[in-house]
Formats: sequence, C-alpha cells, structure tokens
Amino acid sequence: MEIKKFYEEIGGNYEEALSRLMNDALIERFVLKFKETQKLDGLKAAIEAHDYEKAFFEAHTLKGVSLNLAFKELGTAAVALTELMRGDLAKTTNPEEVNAAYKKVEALYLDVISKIN
Amino acid sequence: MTAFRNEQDLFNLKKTVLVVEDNDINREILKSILDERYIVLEATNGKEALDIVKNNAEFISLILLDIQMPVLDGYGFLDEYNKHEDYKKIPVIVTTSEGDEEEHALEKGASDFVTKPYKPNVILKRVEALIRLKESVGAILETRLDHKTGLINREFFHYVSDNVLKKADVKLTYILCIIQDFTYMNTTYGEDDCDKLLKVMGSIFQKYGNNALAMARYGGDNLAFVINSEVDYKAIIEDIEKELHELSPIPNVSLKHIVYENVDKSLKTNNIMNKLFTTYHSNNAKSEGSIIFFDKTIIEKENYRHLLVEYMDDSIKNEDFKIYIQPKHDCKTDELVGAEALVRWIHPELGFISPGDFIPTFEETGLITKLDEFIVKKTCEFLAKCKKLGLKEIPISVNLSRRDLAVFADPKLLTKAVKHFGFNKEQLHFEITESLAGNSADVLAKAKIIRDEGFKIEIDDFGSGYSCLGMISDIPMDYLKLDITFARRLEAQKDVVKHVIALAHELGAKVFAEGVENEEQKNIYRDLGCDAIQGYFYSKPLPEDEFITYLKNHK
Repeated sequence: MEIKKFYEEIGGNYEEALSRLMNDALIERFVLKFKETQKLDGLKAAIEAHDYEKAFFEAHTLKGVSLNLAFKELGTAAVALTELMRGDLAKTTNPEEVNAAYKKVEALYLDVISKIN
Repeated sequence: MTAFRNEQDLFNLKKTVLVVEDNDINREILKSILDERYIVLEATNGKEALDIVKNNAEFISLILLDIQMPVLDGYGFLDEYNKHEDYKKIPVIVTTSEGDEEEHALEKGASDFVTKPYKPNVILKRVEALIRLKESVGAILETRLDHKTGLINREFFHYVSDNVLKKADVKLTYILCIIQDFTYMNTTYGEDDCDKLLKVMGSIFQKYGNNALAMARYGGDNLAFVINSEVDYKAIIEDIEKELHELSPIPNVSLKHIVYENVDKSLKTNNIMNKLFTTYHSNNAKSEGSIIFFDKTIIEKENYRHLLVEYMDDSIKNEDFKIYIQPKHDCKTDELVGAEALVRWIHPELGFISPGDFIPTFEETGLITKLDEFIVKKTCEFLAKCKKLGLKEIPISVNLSRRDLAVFADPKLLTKAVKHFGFNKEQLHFEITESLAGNSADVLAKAKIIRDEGFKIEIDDFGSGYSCLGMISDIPMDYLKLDITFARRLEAQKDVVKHVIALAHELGAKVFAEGVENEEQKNIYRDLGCDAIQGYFYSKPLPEDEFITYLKNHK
C-alpha cells in the first residue's frame, strides 16, 4: 500500500500523520487497524433509533481516531456530526439535520475503507 | 534490556505512564509516542485503570486519561481517584478533543489536558514537566528499594516482573534464594549480625549480578533474581556461595536456590514465586547440591494433595469412604479368626484414590483423626450388624495414627460406644505401627490405657523399618503383625522370622503375617509357628456385603 498516495486520495494529511507516527510502516499498521476495528454499525444503529446520546459517543470516538490518523475530510465530517448532538443538543436536535451529517460521514468512511488494502 | 537491581538502576529507571483509553488505535498511538522514554501500562476503561492503580500506585508516575469510555468513564475514574490520598499523588493528564469540557476534568483533579489529534512533542513535554514537578528521587528510592540489602524490594520486583520483564521477548529464569536457618541465626547471633549478613548478601548479589535483569530482597530470609535463560545461572550461584563463605559475618551460612527455568510468562509473578516456595517445601523436588529444580509435576502433586484435603469433609458426609474387610485365618486349621478393616476412597469426580496418596496427606494435616473416627464408627456398625444377623463373631482391627491417640485415649468413651453397638469389647482391635509405638513414650502410655480398658492392641508393619527387638518387650501388645516384606523374602529370612515369632510368643503375644499370597508362604509361616495369616492367599479386602457372604461361608 502506498501510504502517501492513499492520503492524497482520501483527502488526508500525510505529513501530519508522519509527524505523529514517525514512519510509513507504523502509519500503515494503524490504517489497517482502522479498517479492521473501526466499524460504523453502532453509530448507524444509534442514529436510526434516534438515540443521540449513544450516537454522540460513537461519533466522538470516530472523530478522535480520524483526527489522530489525519484523515482530514472524514475527521471534519465527524466533528460536524458530533457537534449536532453534544450535551443538551442531543434532546433538541433535528433528525433530518443529523441524518444529513451522518450520510456525509458514511460516504467518506466507505470511501476511506475502500481504499485501504 | 533495562535491569532492575539496585539504587544505580533506579536512577536510570524509566518512569511509568498509565494510558487509559478505550479506542485501540488512539491508545496504541499514545503508546507509540511514549514507548521509547517510558514504561507504558494500558487500561481500556476507568475500572481497569483503578485495578492497575490499586496494585501499583507508588510505581506509576503519571496517568493519561480519556474521558469518553465504556464501563467507567474518565469522570468516574477521577471520582474514585479523589478518594485515595496515594492515588492523588499521581498527576493526571486528560486527553480530550476540541470542544470537549476539559474544565470539568480539571475541576475534578486532573492537572492538565492534551487534545486530539495528538501532537507527540506537546504530549512528551507535558508528561515530562508534570512528572518532574511531582516526583522526588527520595520518594522513588523509598518505595522501590530494600535498604538492608540495597536491592529492589518485593513490591517493585512484582511490578517490574509483571509489567516489563515478562513482556520482553526473551526467555526468563527465576531463582529464589533462601538463607537456611535464618530465624535460628537471629536468636543466636542477634539482629545486628543478621542485618550485616543481609548487607553482605546484597553486595555479593550486585557484584555477580551483572547479567541479572532483576534482583530483589523478596522476603525476610530470601532474595530473588531473574535472568535471561541463556545465562549460566549455576556459575553465578557458585560465585555467590564462594564469596558468601568468605565474607559472611556468621559462620557456615548455607543457601538453597530454587530455580524455575523458562517460566511460563502467562503466570503472575506472585504465582511464580509461590510455585518456587511450594517446590522448596515439597519432598518430591529434584536437587543438585544447593540447587532445587522446579518442575510442573511437583505443583500438580501439591495441588492434588490440596484437593484431597478440600474434598475430605464432603466425602465423609456422603460416605465416599468405605471400609473393605480382609480376613485373617488360622494357618494350622484354616479357620477364620479375625479381619482388618481397611479404608477405600472412591470419589465421584476423582475416582479411586490410593490410600498411599491420601493417608500421608491426612496424617500431615491432622485430618486423619476425623477419617479414623469414621472408620472406627463404620467398623462398630458392621460388628453390630453381624451380631444382629447371627453371624460368626470375629474381631476386626482398625488402624490408629499417632494423631488419633489423644482422641482415643479416653477409653471410657470407647467402652460406651461398644456398649451402644452391643458387641464384645474383645472384638475391636486397634493396630498401631511399630515405628509409631517404638518412637514415643507418650504413644506407648496411651496404647497401654486402651489395652487396660480391655481392647486388644496389634503392632502393625513389624520389621518394615529399623526394628529394635529390645523395644518390643516395652510395647503393650496382644498381636504382632509381621510386615509384608518378610513374606516377600521368606525363604532367606526363615531363621529371623522363627526367632521373632518365638520371642513374641514368649512375651504373650500371638503372631500374624501379612501379605501372604500363596500356599508355599502359608506353609512356611505355619511351620515357623505363626498363628494366623492375612493376604490374597485367603482373600483380598472385601466390601461389607461380600464380607457378610464370606462370614456365612466360613462358619
């Protein structure tokens, strides 16, 4: 897997990932681990069930991991989704708005996953 | 690999950081950032973190804590953390994301925060600064060093063994070194000399421990060390012993070294050390000079012993113990003249358990008394049953151990029991082994009390150990039982047996022979003047119902 090219393709920041993880081998290990362990099922189910407290927790995790791996576009989308459901907002949030934000996250997530091999 | 032995090592010691984070990727990124400069412990939620802190508080220099976690989150962890003074000495850095409420965590006692995405330099600088602020060299030595030997202490040894050594990719050998008779030396030579001895031991260990990965004062009279299994530990032990011989303030100090080569790294250190102590106390371990070798079978044997002890009570309640009765026959007339009640243990889970396994174990633990009481009771019941059925009234003997004698030496109780069951006193015989009777005036006195009350005494296993003919005149006995070893070498020992029988007769005792398997042996015993015979030639030990049939067939 060509790490630098992969980052370009998914709208990530290769230099930032390198500054954090020191070398390509380690970046690759974590990227593969992302594909293996970071699933969307929990977030999807929580959003469909309108359980926004749980969805916040799931989105928050996805956001942290994406930012740490410097998956910029996915991270930014996850931040937007998270902020719609933070704290008291979880009770008053508009499901359509959340759905739209989620769809963005989902599309980017699937794009990232499809390019990891 | 870093070593953990003495003060010098502690100065160069890597500090420990506990990373608490549920997400594998985030946690591993933190670990990879910290790994080079710190010993990194990991927990995936607040509860796991509390367990680690509970056991290692004094060795953890800093905690990196995520807030959003399952089971117990970062806030929950901080609530519990605030309740313990020794936990609060460990600074906490909270790992948050942009927009999270880090103020709340700071209010709850966290010292600082870092945000995702992580910036390695920022994290390393904050961690280093906080540790430097909170930790003094004095405190490090205080909690990790044993001052008498200058080696690391037991708690720190457990910590580095579990968290550093066992995680390294090398095979390890653990050695426990026990100073012999240390308590005795303490009373004879005094505390000062013993402290000097420990100090000498500590410096000798340090001198020859260049290759050791850890060296510790483990307990009052023992030290422990861990080495790479490729290193020749025998040479180290030899050097240590030679030097100790020269430098010890107390003469003739000797050591035992219990060695566990290539330890199973899945075991907790505590468990490894327990296995070494069990090996030290076991009679079954292989040794070579002052070195004793651990092997798995020793522990299995010891565990089996513990299991037997654990199951005994239930087995008495459930009557898993049975009496099997072996007849004794007059060897001139072939008449049935008596029997011995033997114990068998058939456990629902463990199956048939050999008396050779459980009797020594119960003797050591004192449980034998309980078992023998049970056997006496079952034998009394059986004698009562035979009487009720109108069967031939023969005496049955039961075995007594040293431990029992205190209990059975109240003959009034025995008489009462016999009355209760309604058979004749002469029908209950007690067997005491020769070695037991011969070694203790106390045993002799108690046997005499039982005999004076009207019960018969049989001396068991005569000739199996170091028999002393002069002694048998002192033993109050009605029957002398010749050990099975005579039957095995009867032809060669004819003359000895003949005179032993004559001597017993002279003293007014009858003679039984055990372990008779064929007619030839029976005839020799008969011709030598033996009175009765027990063994497979007549019958193996029989369960109660089969013995009742046997009684009916041998009127």
